[in-house]
Amino acid sequence: MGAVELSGVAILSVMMILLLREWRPGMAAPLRLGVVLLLAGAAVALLVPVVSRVKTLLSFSSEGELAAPIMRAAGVALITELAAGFCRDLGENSVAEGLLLFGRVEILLLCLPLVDTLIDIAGELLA
Amino acid sequence: MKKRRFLTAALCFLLLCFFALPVSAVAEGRGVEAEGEAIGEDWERFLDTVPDEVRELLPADFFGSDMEAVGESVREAGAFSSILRTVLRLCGIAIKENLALLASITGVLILAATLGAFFEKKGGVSRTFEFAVSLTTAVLFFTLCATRFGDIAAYFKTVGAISLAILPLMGVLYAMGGNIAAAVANHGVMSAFLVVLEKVFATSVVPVAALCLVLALVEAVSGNISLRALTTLVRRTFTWGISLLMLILSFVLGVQQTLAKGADTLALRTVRFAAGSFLPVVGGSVGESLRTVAGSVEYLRATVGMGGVLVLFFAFLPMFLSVLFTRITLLLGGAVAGMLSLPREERLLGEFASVFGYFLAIIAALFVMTFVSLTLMAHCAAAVG
Repeated sequence: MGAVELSGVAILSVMMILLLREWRPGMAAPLRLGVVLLLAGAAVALLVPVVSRVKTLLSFSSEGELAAPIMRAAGVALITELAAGFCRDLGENSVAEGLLLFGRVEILLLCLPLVDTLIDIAGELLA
Repeated sequence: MKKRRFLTAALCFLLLCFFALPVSAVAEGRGVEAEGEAIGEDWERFLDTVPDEVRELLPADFFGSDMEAVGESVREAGAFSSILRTVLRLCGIAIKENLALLASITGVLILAATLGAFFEKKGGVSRTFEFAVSLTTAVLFFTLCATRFGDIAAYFKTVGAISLAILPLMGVLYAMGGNIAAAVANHGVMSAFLVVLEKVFATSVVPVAALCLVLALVEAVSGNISLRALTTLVRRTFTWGISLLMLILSFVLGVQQTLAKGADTLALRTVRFAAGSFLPVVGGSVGESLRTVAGSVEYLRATVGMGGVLVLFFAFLPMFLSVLFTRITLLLGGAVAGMLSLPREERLLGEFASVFGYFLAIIAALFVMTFVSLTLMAHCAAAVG
């Protein structure tokens, strides 16, 4: 799906959400969620070739596995940001903040092995 | 009758002495062979310290025991075309090695820039994600550079081992040439130099570089603290200290060498003058034979000295080129980070490049110091000549 199609989908979805708010308010939220997921999925699909190229570049050195934590962190960040945005749209700011806090902590947890590696290397070099 | 017998016996003795002295043109070659055999064991001990990667760059004859063939191979390896060929070959290897490093750095930077574009809005998880990206890039750069650090530390040890092995060899050649005082002085200064090399270089150069990198890392990951001035101060102070130490060592070696050479020449000339005065015929022959021995010793000393310089040069060159191209790669990586609007990564890569610049300075200074010392030792004329 290209930018033109996605822009069309987005505009049509917004119009439908506005109409649904008037006629059937309960249906607007699921539609909004569906559109957000569709747009995010399209963006991630576009990112796949970039990630594969980056993996190829990293495979030239022996440190290719270092990309895994950062990819997972990106996934966590994307999902929590989108979900928090959706919660805010529904007026649930405190839920959104809680979700973002969870996302931050999970990213920090993913970074812990990297911190260990860094401390090990620094220790070896300074010894 | 008694007087005639005594004169005949004295004449026979003088003739015997005359023919026993190696004064002919052929004798010079025999002298080189004889002196070469005398230093054979020390020469082999020196060759044992030559690393395999340096062996590959030198002619096969260099590792033989025939000193004339060794001299020929030293001349061959020291030729401009041969050195240029080696430099180009090593440049190719270093470029290939660093292209992989550049690909990895570019990969991480593209990944960081692409994923960073998803979270342009400040707040939320974007700052934590930026931290994760900085940490990943730092780990990658640290891991890639740690191997280079190991190579650099190994290079310092190799230079120490080569210098340690060449020292007794030069000592023997000095003693053979009658430069006893010079041998003692050089041994003293070179031993001091080797202690400095072992203690200062092998134990402090890499840790100081690592300290600079850790400071740069703290700066890059925190994003708020600026430690650049401190890093520069540590690096400059250490480089300055090492340069001063080398200058002092070169100065002491030069002074000791010149004074000791003068003393040895004076002592040997006195002996020769005495021999020439008291034994008119034999005394002159002794002078001639000593000149021949001096020629052989000087030839051997030049061969061994220049051989040592070549070994040090071929140990230095791959390391120098590798560090130089790593620095260029890191600078290129910094430029790519700048283009992708990644200021933290740009700063971190800049600091890494500065540390490799510091390594370049230390490696070059160490090579110049060892080169000057060996050349000085090889160029000292034999006192017996």
